[in-house]
Amino acid sequence: MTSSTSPAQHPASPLVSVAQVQKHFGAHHVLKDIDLEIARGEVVVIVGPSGSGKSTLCRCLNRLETITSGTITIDGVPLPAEGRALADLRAEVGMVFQSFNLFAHRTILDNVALAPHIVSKVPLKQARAEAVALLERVGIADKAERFPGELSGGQQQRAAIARALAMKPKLMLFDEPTSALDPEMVSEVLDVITSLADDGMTMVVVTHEMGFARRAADRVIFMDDGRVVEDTTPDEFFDNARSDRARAFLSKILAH
Amino acid sequence: MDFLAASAGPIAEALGTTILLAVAAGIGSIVLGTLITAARISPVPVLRWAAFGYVQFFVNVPLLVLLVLAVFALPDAGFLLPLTPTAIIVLTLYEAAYVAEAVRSGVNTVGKGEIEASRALGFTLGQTLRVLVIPQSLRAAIQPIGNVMIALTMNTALAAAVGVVELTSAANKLNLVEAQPILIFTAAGLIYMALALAIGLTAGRLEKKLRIRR
Amino acid sequence: MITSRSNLRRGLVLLASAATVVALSACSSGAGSSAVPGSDPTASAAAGSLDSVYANAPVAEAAALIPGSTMEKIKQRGKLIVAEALDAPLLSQQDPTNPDDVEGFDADLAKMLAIYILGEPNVEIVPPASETREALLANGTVDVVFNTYTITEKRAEQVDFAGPYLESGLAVAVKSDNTDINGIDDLGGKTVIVGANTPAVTAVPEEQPTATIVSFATDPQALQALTQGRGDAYVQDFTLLASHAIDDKSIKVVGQPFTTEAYGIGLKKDDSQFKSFINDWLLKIQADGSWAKIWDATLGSAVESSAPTPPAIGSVPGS
Repeated sequence: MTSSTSPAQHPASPLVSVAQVQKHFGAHHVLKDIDLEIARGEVVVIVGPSGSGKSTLCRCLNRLETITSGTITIDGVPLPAEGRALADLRAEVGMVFQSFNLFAHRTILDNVALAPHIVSKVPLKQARAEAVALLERVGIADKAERFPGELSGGQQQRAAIARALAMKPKLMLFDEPTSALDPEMVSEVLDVITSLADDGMTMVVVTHEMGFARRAADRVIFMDDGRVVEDTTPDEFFDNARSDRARAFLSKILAH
Repeated sequence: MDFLAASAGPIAEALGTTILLAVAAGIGSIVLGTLITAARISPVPVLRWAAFGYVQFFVNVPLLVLLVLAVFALPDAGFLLPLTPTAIIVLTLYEAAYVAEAVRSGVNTVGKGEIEASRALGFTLGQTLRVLVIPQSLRAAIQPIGNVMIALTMNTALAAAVGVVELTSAANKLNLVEAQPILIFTAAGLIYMALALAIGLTAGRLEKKLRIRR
Repeated sequence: MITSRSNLRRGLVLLASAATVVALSACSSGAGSSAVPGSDPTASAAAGSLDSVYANAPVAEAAALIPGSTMEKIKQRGKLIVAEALDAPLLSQQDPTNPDDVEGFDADLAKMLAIYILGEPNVEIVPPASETREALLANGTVDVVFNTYTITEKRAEQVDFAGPYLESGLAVAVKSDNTDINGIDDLGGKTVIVGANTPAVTAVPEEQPTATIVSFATDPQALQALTQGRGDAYVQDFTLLASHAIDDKSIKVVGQPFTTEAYGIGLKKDDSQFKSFINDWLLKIQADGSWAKIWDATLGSAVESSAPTPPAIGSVPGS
């Protein structure tokens, strides 16, 4: 594990700070009283039953979803509401989606090089060179000139990770990155994520992969019905969950 | 048939004008129509309504009315442009409404997740439109746009009514002398068919080449 | 949302129809709606007198309607189908307030021919896309063409011409303030406006090969184009131009007519029975003075001369 800080004692300036966040979808109260701090270099895995609000929380962190009340700050700066400032912030927060969402009309290389070139104004040649290096890192350099539709799900997700990394983010958000994959492709993607964690990347991973959570997380957050129910170490969570709801969830998941 | 060969010069010149009208108005209407679509899906209400109004206006007014209006009413308002540029401008404005509708049908094929991904990467709205939404919409709309271009080519014949010497006008003139309407207009029709075929085939090849595989 | 949407649509439709009206008025302004013969007081008196012309119009003897002939078929059908314009002032123009009423020299002669065959002025008008006159005759869509159809030998290879029933000539009109152009001889290198499908389309290049020809679909459009400066001159039938110049002081006719156009009645090729039948009728209306009365009521309202001598039947090549 890369983290030198225990979850109990947060460093002076957390990278992510979530305070008193509420979110409603119409009459539906999906996030309730969320308080959360994430330190630099920390790997936080969010688990919980579907509908518990874990994906919504993840998407609120780069304002793909808006919150009803409360505050979210990234690196000490409150999330901007709209426009250029929000775009600038998003550029510093990488996101990987369940359904990859690669740009279908561009090659894998372009997918990775596009954002640095367009958003950060990196010269195209340099952006492409860096993209090639990233594709090598995630093991699909040979697919650089292919189109997303020509790749397997696992390869596409690795390309999507490379695309997010190309912006040199401070924080990576993974929203169920393996849920849409065939089982045999899950590990190739988790391996890439694990190696990122080993390199000290700060990340939030929403997942159902309990093995990964136990192996890679510094901290596990268990959510149910819009609340953070447990916020503890993996060992503590898996071996010694305090709440009934967490124990019920684990028994269901691990039974399979 | 001999007289057709003898008139090849003027016919070729008139065909050149027809092609000029179609190509100039074609490029213009694709550019303008794409901008209109961009306005139509923008978050700015004024732009959205302006684009909607533009499309409704041009889809609901006959082209001939617009041509006659531009050629005969604008000079009274102080704008006297030569006939061919006037026809190109009117055709561009008119067909842009149809291009906008075609491109808009393509917008629906752009993945919502891809738009979300571009936002997550820090693209501004303009960048998302330029890099993702418009290119994908255009690719998806190649066939419908090709059909608009074919209609545009046929519509260039209406320019004859306001004095532009294009293919139909030349055919009229030739027939005044030769009095062989069936032969002459069949020949003109075959030329229009050939133009339509060329556009259709080009659109088909482009679509095959640029099709998005998902 | 749905209501406001449909309201907007309705509004736009109104806007569109308003645009159409502007377009139409734009076309007719300058041309002057008073170019319609009926609006000239003397002409309307003359037009009124056409009732007596119709009442006394010659009717063919039953023997002339030879069984199996074209005229007998028309009689059986009960109407004469004529290709004629709806927008040619003095010649064949529809009254916008009364669409059934089409007036002018061509239109009135067509009614006379209908009376001659049927006993009543029962005419069905097919507005000729004039580029298809030959085809309309060849495939039997129309019985006859009254459409300032200049008799030429080339055309006579495709259709038969009865007549000529009228001789006229092309003349040059310019803006009143133009002092450079005094006739066809001054049109070299100039931009010349003509009506599409009129004899001027071919006659002007023959006289002035260096002139640039711009053709417009209708006479009012061509006139508007002249007053707006889209061309230096407008070449059209002398009588028509003269009538425009009376109504619209911003234009004037310069020089004398520079061609002689012999207009014929277009008929289906190789129907000599029908052709001589119509030529007989032309002779009758010339002889009894009704030809001249119709000329006075229509074309004659625009010029200060009395009816000319009708052209001799068969006097030009192709007739």
